[in-house]
Amino acid sequence: MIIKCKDILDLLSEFFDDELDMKEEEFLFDHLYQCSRCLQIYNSYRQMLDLFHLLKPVKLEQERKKEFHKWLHVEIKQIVIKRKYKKL
Amino acid sequence: MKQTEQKDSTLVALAKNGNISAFEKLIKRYEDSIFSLAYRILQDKEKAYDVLQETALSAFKNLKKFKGKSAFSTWLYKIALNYALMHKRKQKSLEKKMTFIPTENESKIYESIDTEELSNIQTVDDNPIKTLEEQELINILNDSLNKLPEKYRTVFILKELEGKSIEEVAKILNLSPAAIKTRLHRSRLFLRELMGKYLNLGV
Repeated sequence: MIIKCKDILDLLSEFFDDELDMKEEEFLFDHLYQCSRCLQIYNSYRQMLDLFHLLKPVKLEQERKKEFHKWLHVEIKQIVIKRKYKKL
Repeated sequence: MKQTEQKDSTLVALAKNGNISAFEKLIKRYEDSIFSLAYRILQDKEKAYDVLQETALSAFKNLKKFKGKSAFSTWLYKIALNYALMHKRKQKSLEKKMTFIPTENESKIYESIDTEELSNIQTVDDNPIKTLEEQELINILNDSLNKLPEKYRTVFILKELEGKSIEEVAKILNLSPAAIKTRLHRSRLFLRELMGKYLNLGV
């Protein structure tokens, strides 16, 4: 398998999705070691993904969660009651 | 994982038979993920909270329609995503600044995104990202995400930020895994270009 520079971006995406087999990975890294330009692309690609992974999960505050649970409970009860009346 | 799914299916069965507490347990299990997904798309905690409320209520009202063909969580994310995207579209039409209007430079990036070898890669001596404050960095990341067309942004958020697998994203969006991979690939290329000046492109 000969890796050409123009294929590098497609291969990187597959690499970061764990879609390459060991042999393909080997070819990819062989190419990266020999081609400083593609290595730059690899570095920036990886850095970009690492940066986005820094975004921490966003969680609802405990108080807001309690408020939501109360609200949901009341709403659901109302729906259940309405459904019962419809059946009668 | 399988155990969790079994528990979900048990709770769903109970909830379908009128057990309110079973339904509430299901929602509690996924409320953080739903809120987080909505926040990633809307970048507004109040609106993300609205999406959580709408999703939970809609799921309860339509529970009988859930046939168990996919995981309950997938079904729930689909509902949440629809509401979040609906809010986003409203937001976009209301606020001009939220509309995706590519600059001349961004348009060029977008046109060349397909497969062409990237040219004119910026090189910098120092890593500019190191000089940014955390909040600045978060703003830059969110702004870059906002510049992505919706179909790419949604896939990137689900896969890279919410940690869903390609298969799961495919199910949530009713697309093939191959289509998800393509969108993911393009979203990454686009983001890499948008973030270019902040990335250390030196060897």
